[in-house]
Amino acid sequence: MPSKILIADDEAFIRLLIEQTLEEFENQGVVIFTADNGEDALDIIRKERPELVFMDVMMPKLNGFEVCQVVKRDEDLKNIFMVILTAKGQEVDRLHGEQVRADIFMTKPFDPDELIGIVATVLKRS
Amino acid sequence: MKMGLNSWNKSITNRLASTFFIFLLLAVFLVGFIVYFRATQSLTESVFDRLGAVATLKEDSLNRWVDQQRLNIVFIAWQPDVQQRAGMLLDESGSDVDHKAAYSALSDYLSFVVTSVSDSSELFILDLNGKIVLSTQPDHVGQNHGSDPFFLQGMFTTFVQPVYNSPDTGHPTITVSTPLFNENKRRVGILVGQLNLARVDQIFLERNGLGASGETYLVNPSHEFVSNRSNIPQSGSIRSKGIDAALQGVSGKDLYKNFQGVPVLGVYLWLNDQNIALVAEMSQAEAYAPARQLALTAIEFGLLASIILAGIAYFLARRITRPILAITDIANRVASGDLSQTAPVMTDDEVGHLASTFNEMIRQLQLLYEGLEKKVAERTTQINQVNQHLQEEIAERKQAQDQLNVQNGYLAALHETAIGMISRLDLQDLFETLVTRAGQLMNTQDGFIYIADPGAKEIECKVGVGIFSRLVGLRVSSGEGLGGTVWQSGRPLVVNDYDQWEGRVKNLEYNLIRSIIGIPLKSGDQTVGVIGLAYNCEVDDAHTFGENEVELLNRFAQLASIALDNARLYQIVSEARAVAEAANESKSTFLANVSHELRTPLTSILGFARIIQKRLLERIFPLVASDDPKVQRAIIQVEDNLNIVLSEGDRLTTLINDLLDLEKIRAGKMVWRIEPLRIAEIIDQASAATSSLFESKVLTWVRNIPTDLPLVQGDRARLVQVVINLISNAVKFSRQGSITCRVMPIQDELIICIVDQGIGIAKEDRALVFEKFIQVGDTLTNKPKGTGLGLPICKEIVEHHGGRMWLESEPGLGSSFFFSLPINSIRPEDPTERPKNNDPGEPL
Repeated sequence: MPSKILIADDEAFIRLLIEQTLEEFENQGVVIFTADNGEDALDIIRKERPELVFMDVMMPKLNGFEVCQVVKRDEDLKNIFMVILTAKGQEVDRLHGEQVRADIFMTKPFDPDELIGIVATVLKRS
Repeated sequence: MKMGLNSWNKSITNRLASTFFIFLLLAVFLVGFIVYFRATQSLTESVFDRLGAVATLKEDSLNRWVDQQRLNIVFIAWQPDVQQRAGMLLDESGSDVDHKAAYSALSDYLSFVVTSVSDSSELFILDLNGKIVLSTQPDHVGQNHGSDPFFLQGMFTTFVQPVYNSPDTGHPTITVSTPLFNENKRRVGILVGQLNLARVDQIFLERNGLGASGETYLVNPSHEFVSNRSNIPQSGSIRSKGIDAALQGVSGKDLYKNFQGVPVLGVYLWLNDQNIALVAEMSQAEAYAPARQLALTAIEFGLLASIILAGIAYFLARRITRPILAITDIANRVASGDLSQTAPVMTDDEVGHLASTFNEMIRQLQLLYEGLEKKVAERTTQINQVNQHLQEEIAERKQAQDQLNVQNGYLAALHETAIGMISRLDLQDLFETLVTRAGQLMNTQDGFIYIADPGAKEIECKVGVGIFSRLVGLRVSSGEGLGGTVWQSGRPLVVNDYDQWEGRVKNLEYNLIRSIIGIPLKSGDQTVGVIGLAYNCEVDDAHTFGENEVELLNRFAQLASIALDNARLYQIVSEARAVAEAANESKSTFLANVSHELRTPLTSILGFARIIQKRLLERIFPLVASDDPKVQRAIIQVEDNLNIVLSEGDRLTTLINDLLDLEKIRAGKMVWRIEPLRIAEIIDQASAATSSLFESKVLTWVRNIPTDLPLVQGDRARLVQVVINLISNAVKFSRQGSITCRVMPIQDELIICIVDQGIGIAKEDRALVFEKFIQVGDTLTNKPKGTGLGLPICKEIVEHHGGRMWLESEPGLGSSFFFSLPINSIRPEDPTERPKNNDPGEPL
């Protein structure tokens, strides 16, 4: 069964950027899903059970923190590796991320190599 | 008092008795002394007389004895038998037989005389040449005495040589010589007798009634005893005042110490015939014994008499003091105020007179006292009258005082009101306070306040209490009702019969109002409100508002107006501040939002630029295998341009982050994680983070941090940020040389310093480097990369830690950036970190 990664961001360019950054993994057979709002993201998470989710915060319908909270409170989903990837880099946002038990809190603009490193580590683990 | 009386009693009696006794004793001893003195005087005379008599007697005895001896010798010489035999013995022409016969006969005779009859110790015969021809001591025969006085004198007449020391025996002796004739009356020789002085002793040792110590003795001019005194050692010369005087030819009598040092009475005579001194003495002790005895007896009897007399004196004194004590006792009682006592008149003498005089004094005192009491009673009455008068005056004054107190109370209430009101800044709160205070001032529960909002046509009741509670929210227009009337006129109004007042608001039931007052509140000339108070006829039907109340409330209203203005101003200021704060807040929010909005496109730009770079390097450029220099140059250009895009994107990101940080610090929204830190770790962390910067330049990193530095309190990440910033700046503005980090503990601070050898900063620019968005130097030609926010942020961070930040620089030589951090009192506990306790670190 191929590994799955979800990219949730309301900005199409950002989704594209992340997708292209992770191109090498796609070539290795990793399936990448995308969502442009929180609800869709949650649907995909429940349906596809990805190993790793890159989650923006400011999204329509459900924001990233809310989605993260739902996932981490769900016994079936809580093992999914949640990366909050947001332009909101304030201290309060970091704390919020901790509260919803995100695994990693990253701010935009991000370092592509760091993203690649995270994916490699998570996929290796699973 | 009783005690004192007793002691006085004892004292006076005893003093009398003892004084008397002492004088008696003195008299007794004086008598004893006089007796002794007189007796001694007469004894001296009598003893001297006796001694004189004895001395004369002895002198006579001696003279008589010597004369007797002379006669004896003469008698022997004149015996015919002796003359005949002497003639034969001394006749040189006679026969030997005759000589011998004469010698033998004379010798026998003279020996007989010496041993049995005469007091002579020796008898001898001298021939006319002075040679001994016969002696009772035969061994002396042949001795020549031709030059001795007794030979030379004795040749012609009977001669007595007075006492002298015999050259033979060395003892004092008297020699008697007389011419010796034969039967033919022809001088044939000299008969000489040496007198035996033992006989003299006999004479002088007879005491002759001189008592136990009385004695007489003879002394020759050589200060020797003439008589052989076997009981006294004959060593050296004997001397005393009497002996010395007598030996100088003076006779007399005196008191002196004898040759043995015993005080004596002495009589001394110089016996010219015998050439000796005669001394008769008696010891003073013995001579005066009767005098002492007499004196002692006198004293004994005197003492006995004194004791008896002292006893009598004591009893007499007691008899005299008893009535005096009785008077004293009474005097004491009188002194303590008991005038009913009289002293007993015990005797008819002076003491008795004293007692009766004293009783008279008491009677006088009683009279005086009664007079005084009467006067006191009169005075008391007078004083009571004055007192009553005074009390009346006091009552009057008290009334005045009460009035004053009431006014003072008003003033105090006003003062309190003023303070209470002026401190109220909330308007509704102030309105309520005004009504309450005014009610308290006028002693009523019923009151209200109307306030005109600025520019309004009506006034609104803001607060109503008591019977006016229904008024709240009611609006009245100018001239309507009491409130409207006062608002319109701007003058106080009192209505004492509200029911009948034509101006009343008809549709409101105010039947309870007895008397009502309205006072205007003014802001400048404008009436801005009305305070009203009423007396409720259910509570206080009699009370109405008079002039005093109007005056007081008027003043209250003036204060209230000030408070109202004050509160309104405060409200305006508060609103303005709230607006400013909101604006500030919205600026922060705006910045946060803007930064967020900026990051999203920035993310795309940077991300895609990296992907482009990656794709070009990995996939495109390898395929462009052209040797065309233009193509090669274009490839390099594309690479460079992409790098520029990336680095500028990074700079923009940093700028946004710095902007947010600065805003957060300034707005106090930064979250600080303060903990005890080792500064060395901070610096090492920063130097590690900036190590890559050094690789592109010829720069060396010099770390100069002493061990054993105290800890500091701080936010690790922020302080690392500060040091990174300083190191980055130093690298940025240096081409070569070294960048040095030093740490020094100075007093209660740590001073951290980053020193470079770069371009330096001009004097005029130094103050500007900590300003926002300012980068010094020629920004057009030589613009270094940076946001311009780094140093301002560092300064904010350091100041937040309680430290300072400053710089020293010399253009062309380099810059030193300093910052200080307060030292935490905690010392490092790691034992490997404190090798030297007193090391202050290396000097700069």
